[in-house]
Amino acid sequence: MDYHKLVKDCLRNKPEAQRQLYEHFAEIMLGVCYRYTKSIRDAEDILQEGFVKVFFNLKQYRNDGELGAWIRRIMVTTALNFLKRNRNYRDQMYFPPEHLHPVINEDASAILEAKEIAELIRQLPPGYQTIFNLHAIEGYSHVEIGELLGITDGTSRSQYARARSLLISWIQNYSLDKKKETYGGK
Amino acid sequence: MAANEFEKNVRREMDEFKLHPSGEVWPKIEERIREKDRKRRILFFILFSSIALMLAGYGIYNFSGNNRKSEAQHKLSEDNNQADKNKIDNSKNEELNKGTVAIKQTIPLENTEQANKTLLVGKQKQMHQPHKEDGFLRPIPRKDPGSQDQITVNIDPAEKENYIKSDKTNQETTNVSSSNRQQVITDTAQREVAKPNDKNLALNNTTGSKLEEPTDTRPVQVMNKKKEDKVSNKITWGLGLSAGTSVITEDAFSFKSSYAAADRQYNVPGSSQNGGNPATGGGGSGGPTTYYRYAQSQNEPAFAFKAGIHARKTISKRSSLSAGLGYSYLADKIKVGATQGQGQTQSAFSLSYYSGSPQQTFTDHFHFLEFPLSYNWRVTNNADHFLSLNAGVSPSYLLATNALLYDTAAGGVYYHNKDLITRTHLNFISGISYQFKNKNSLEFSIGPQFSFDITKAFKSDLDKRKYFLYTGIGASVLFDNKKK
Repeated sequence: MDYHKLVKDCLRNKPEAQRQLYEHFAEIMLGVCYRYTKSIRDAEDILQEGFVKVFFNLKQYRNDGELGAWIRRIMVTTALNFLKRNRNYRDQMYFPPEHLHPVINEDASAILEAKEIAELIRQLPPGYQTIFNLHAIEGYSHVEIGELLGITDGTSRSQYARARSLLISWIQNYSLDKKKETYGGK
Repeated sequence: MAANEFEKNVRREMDEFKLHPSGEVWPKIEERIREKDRKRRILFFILFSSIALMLAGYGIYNFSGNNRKSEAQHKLSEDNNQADKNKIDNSKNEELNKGTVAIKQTIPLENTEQANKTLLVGKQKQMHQPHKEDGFLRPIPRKDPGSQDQITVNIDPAEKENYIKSDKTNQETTNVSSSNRQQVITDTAQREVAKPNDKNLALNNTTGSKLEEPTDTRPVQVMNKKKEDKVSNKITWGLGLSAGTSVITEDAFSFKSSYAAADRQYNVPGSSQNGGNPATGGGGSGGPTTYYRYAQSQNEPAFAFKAGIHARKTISKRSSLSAGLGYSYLADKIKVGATQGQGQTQSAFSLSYYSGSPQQTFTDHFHFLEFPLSYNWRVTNNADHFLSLNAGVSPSYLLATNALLYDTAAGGVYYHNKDLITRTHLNFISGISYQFKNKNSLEFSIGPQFSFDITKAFKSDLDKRKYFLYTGIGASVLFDNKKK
């Protein structure tokens, strides 16, 4: 796909191009939004808000970077704003100072599918969920996460470690249950 | 390593993680994008209208002020004989001249006697002339605009005779003293004239202007200007032609064509329609039926033109009204499928209809008879070549059309039904034109023209197209019979 032309046409407010851009990125971006929320409806709200921002700010996009990454950043920022704005999430987004949790190195994620991992991530408490998404998947450093969420990088580290160990234990349990189902409990 | 492995795996899995959004998301996004465009357009429209109104208000204000003066002057001319008339004209011109400058005369000491004599003969002059106090001009009470008529009717014929005599004396005196006279021009004394209750005001003004004539040419200039400002009441006729493009827009005050999704097949789940798919067939059995429907094609602008005759009546030195009768050809292009012939299906479509698949371009032709009425306002000062703003309304009547309407039935079709096409329309028209005259009393104008229909083109809500928009370049010629 010729992103350069697509962006150009979108900037000219061509409806076909705008729809094409949306259709091309909507699914992957909804996957991103989904990981930050507890319901698909909230994820779609973020997706909608994010794409409106994308179209309004498309002139700021320079063609030197990847369009998908640029849109993804907008989606993540929109998701964080949504979490801060939405009371249901905001009230659960507390970050108590915790000791670093020992890192569990077992790689259980390999045996799960993307959807299953996403569902487990979504079961994390909102604070853990957000930090895990930002660090493990989006690749933000703890310093950056601290700036984004208004917390210290130490808190981000400890929260991440806690989230990670929680997730790994869930994945282990989940994969065990899955094996039992597969082999009939044998 | 293993720790990084976990993050890598999760990231890899998540990069591939996709979810299909529901069908509600895109329409909401689209609505918000268009809403911003619409707001921008409305803001632009309000801004443009405000500027146009301010300009028009300014023009009307100026025009009405000049008109009052012209009427008063005209009355004076009628009331007085020919000899007086010239003097009074000068007097009034001087008054007008005070709109921009006031002239103060100072007489040197050696001419004091003569000056005093002059002032005694026409003692009113003292009242007329600005007083000098401590080197500054004393303000004279502002003249009531409505008092000019009073001045005119209070002139007594007996006094008029005296005035003529005294005026002659003044002239003699002035001839002696004019060489030594100095003129002091001050802008601070703008529009400062004598008291309105002085019945000899006009006479004094006349003597005053007589004094100024030898050295000051401005009264003459003002007279010329008055001639130019004189509003001609006659009607001039003209021919006009305009060519450009037209389209049927979806939104009010939009400059875009209808943005119905172009040439796209839509998957419409769970529909109860039995239309099925004109191209690929319906969905599987069981559960909600999935079928395909051709959405309405995006329409595109097409060539259009307008021609007609019009009459113009000047209503002030800067503004005029135009009314006319014209023919207007508008069109727009859509994409339709193959014709399905006559009477195959769909009794609602009385004649042949076209499938919704975008295979060929079809041009909708519309032939209108229109009656444009517009207000024209000259922006620039030069009366021989100038810019003019035009705005008005144009009722029109649809004479004939071959337009196809869209309907969602049978998977999306286009059909012709004249009962669903609006016949009478009302358009807003506006434009900017550059106008100039040639030596043969012909007046030409050229410039962009806009016409926006505020009546819906079709009575069917299934067709997204709503309002005609025409943009073009117009040229016209006016036949002015006035000999130069």
